[in-house]
Amino acid sequence: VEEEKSVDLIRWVNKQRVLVLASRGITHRPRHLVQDLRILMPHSKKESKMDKKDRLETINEITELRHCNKSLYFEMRRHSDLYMWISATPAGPSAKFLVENIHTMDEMKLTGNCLKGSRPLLVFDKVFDDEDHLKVLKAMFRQTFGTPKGHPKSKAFIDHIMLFTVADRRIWFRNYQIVQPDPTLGMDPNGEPTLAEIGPRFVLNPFRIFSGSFYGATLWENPHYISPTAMRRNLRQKRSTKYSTKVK
Amino acid sequence: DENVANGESKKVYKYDRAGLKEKLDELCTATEKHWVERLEVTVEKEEIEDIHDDFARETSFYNQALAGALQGQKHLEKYGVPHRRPADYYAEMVKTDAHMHKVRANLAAEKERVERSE
Repeated sequence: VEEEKSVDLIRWVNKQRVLVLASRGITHRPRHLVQDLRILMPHSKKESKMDKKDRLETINEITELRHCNKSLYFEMRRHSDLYMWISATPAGPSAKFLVENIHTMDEMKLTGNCLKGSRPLLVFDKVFDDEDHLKVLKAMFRQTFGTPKGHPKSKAFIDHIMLFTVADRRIWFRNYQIVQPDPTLGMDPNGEPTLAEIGPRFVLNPFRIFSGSFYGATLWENPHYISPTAMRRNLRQKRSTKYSTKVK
Repeated sequence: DENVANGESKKVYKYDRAGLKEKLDELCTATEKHWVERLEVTVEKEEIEDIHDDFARETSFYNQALAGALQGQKHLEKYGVPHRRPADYYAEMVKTDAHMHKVRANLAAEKERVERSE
């Protein structure tokens, strides 16, 4: 049972700090996505790009040097496939995802806006509570994307929502502004709000969960995951058999 | 539930439930025990028939997020957390004024185009 009477609304207790970094050779769209996330996460710190030749464990050292306890690492492969690592440093766990369908905040159809540094309300799909691996991912997302109360760079008022929902065996991320009814337009100021999408959008295809931070035993792996290379190969094969079946 | 992704491989996929539970307990610290620290709500989603139908999918997401917003607001009000930004509160926003101006101009142009074609 939560202690409801004595809620400290000011003090900074939950000191989550997230290191956000990308690999060298990241293309423009993922780079903008990383930038968008940095803007939305006042509790994050930035680091210069990682060389892909470096061992992943060196991220743990950098994370500790920068006094962070979480890290988000974006790695680009073959100039087309983006992977995201989310990790709790130093004890783990960590998880790896393929990032699909990226839309950044720059897009014109995303009309929402919110305060820079305001804390998001985190909305999770009910499905996250049903499976053990999703429970772990939920906790990691909450601690990484949520802004700690009382963080010096955070702002008062809660004017946006981050949605994490599961569909098609993937995790979909959306960020909406909470638009309160405008009394100057004759609306009831205590009425229900509406939402306007701010962006970015992305889809995480989970891949594997490790017990350590960027290393360790595999705790879960996705039986439905097909690597983008295999996907492209399948597509090519389908295209090639299309012709041979026609000829027959 | 060791499903096989593609017919030919018989690989066994790891699912260490005990290990996951242990890690979950390690992650959940006392510092985020109170709801005000977490700002987290859980909402069920309506079924999406076709994930590739952009409109149906986004509507489902919107409704889920809105239900979450309403649920969240109830909690915020219960604990007295200020959440409604006053109209005269000016501070730096995530998107710049110049960007928002462009968004509005684009929206207006779109609207005009639709009206003209009608």
